[in-house]
Amino acid sequence: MSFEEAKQILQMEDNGTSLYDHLSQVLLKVITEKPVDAVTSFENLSISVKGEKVTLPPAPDSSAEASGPVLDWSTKTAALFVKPDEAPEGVPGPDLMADAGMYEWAGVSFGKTETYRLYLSIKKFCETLDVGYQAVKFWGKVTSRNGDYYVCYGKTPENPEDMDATAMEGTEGANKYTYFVTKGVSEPWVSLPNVSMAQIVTAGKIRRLLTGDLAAAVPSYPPFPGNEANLLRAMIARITADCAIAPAGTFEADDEGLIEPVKNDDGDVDPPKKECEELLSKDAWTHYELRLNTLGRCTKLPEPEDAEDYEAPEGDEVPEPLGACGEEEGTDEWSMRPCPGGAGMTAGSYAKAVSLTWPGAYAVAGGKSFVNVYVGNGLKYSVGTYTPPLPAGIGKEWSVPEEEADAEVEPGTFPLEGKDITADPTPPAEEEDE
Amino acid sequence: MDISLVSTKLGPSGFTLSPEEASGMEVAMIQRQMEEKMGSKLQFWGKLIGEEQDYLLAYSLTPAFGFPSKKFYFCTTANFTLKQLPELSEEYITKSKGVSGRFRGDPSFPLEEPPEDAPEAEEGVEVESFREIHRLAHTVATIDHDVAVVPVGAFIADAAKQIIVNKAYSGLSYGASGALRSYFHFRKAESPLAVASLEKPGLARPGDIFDAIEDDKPAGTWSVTYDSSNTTACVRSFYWPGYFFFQTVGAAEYGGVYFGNGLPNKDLAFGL
Repeated sequence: MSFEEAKQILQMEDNGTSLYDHLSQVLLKVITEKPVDAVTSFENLSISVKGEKVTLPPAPDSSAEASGPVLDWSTKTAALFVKPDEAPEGVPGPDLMADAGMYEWAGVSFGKTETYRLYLSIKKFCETLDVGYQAVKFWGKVTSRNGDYYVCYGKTPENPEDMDATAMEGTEGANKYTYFVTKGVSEPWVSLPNVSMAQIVTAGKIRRLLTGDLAAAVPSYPPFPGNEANLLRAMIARITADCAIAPAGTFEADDEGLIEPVKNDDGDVDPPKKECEELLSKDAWTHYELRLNTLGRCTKLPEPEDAEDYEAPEGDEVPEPLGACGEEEGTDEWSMRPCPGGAGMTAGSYAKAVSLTWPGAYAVAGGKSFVNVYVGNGLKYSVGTYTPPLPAGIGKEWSVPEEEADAEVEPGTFPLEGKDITADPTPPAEEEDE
Repeated sequence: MDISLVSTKLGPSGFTLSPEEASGMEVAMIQRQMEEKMGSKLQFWGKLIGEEQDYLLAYSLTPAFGFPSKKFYFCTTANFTLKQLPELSEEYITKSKGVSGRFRGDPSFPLEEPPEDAPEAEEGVEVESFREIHRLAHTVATIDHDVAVVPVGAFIADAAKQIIVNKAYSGLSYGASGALRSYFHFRKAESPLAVASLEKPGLARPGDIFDAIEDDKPAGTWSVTYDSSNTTACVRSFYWPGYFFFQTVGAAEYGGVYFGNGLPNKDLAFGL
């Protein structure tokens, strides 16, 4: 067979192209793209050449679908970097960049650049806040099924006017702080509603993941009284009560149980300086927020004014403020570690407390500073498999009102239906014969 | 994933390695790689949080017929020397499944009472018994089987039906990276569809050679979202909370890690 003949065979048309053309295109692809594994991936190169012929390679992703959200995000975020003309008012924000260095030792980071944007975002938000919130601190991040919630908080300025003190605690208890969440640094911060006792208690009985929409309903059994914003707020309340810990001596409680940071004679906040070694025992840490009792409260239920022999319901107890860490089995388990430890450990190392009860909750302390942070899905650690609680007992049947229950129906028997009236009660008057 | 990406790409997950862990692990991985003369780089797998110490884990991929073989290495945060996790016998796998609760963080922690008629341990010789290292090996293998993810096209089947890295992989578009169907289990195919496409003659398309995570039950066990800047797609598992996978939009940059306590969310059905 001559060369010309062989070439003719190769150039036979098949589906509009020939093997000759195809091979030369594959070789052209190899020469232009220079893949290092041309022999291994030859079949794939061949198939991609064939594929390119049928459909053009997709143009670089410049569609509105792709550029829209990214452009939108960058435009909004760029606004964070604009310095305001006038000195801003509002409340002070957290020193997030310094805190982030401590978070990193606990294994928590949002990425260096993102943390700075978060810092700017909180700072900008603080400038819009009323001074009643005093100062804003960063709390952490709660993950959801669709995007995450960054959480920060400030002191609740005052109780709402129409607050029912038997269903919801005010600023002295679980609603000491108002929490704010955002789903992204360029999104607005949204204030979460105050939390009620029922919400805290029910949140402990269900194991729902957040959906990422604050207005979403929470379908669950037992029924959760509220929407996702309430559930998130209840999760935060539970985690804060269990996981807000600080080195002992940083806070002190006054006679009324109010917890305040320790101050020096000049009235400045002045916590004692701690060395790493001391902080590795659980006794060296205390809870600086009030713990929740089984009723979902940190304070005693208010006694009704009119009741004479008022009996407090079961569980209406108030845990001691500033309780030592790790005292309660099952809700308060921690692991303390030096960081850096091992060869890098010095007296100035940080100590980190890893919550075993709430995976994702950490505290880091060293010298005079400490931080708490949470990153997780808001669910508590549980050993076994979750079983939803059984339905409550059947409700009582309605009883006969007293005035009806005297003569005809004996007490305790079910009221029977009266006999049907078969005769026409108002018979038409007989017509007279004419 | 490549350990150098930990500090830059894991932001959306909220997790990272502390400077101590990251630098210790970097050294340990290079050391193990050089000692075992590995052909490819050791990859960082994740961190398993224990009560006393944490485990740091890495894996290697070696080409093998069919599917590359994965070997797992671990160290604790108390001692940065990577050791290979043991192969498990059927007996130990069954025992591992029966253990519940958190990990201790001590690989030699015994998980069962030694039998009374056990031979006296000779000095310096450790008696073989069921320990936390065996449970760790089982847990890591299970998590990896359930959640290790690859984006479509990152691996291809060559003419001999071997799964190999696609060096020409150039990432996914914005739309594709945000879709669950673009992600697959990085394990030897199990679904009939994928197995069949690997068995039949001819080339198999990259989307046909692995099991789709989209088919996992219950629906909703995975989520794919963009990070806040919409430039990275994040895949998360809710059955293994703490598994995080990222794919940079339009770039061949991807990776998955696990940061968790080694326990699945068995209550997932109540959470969705």
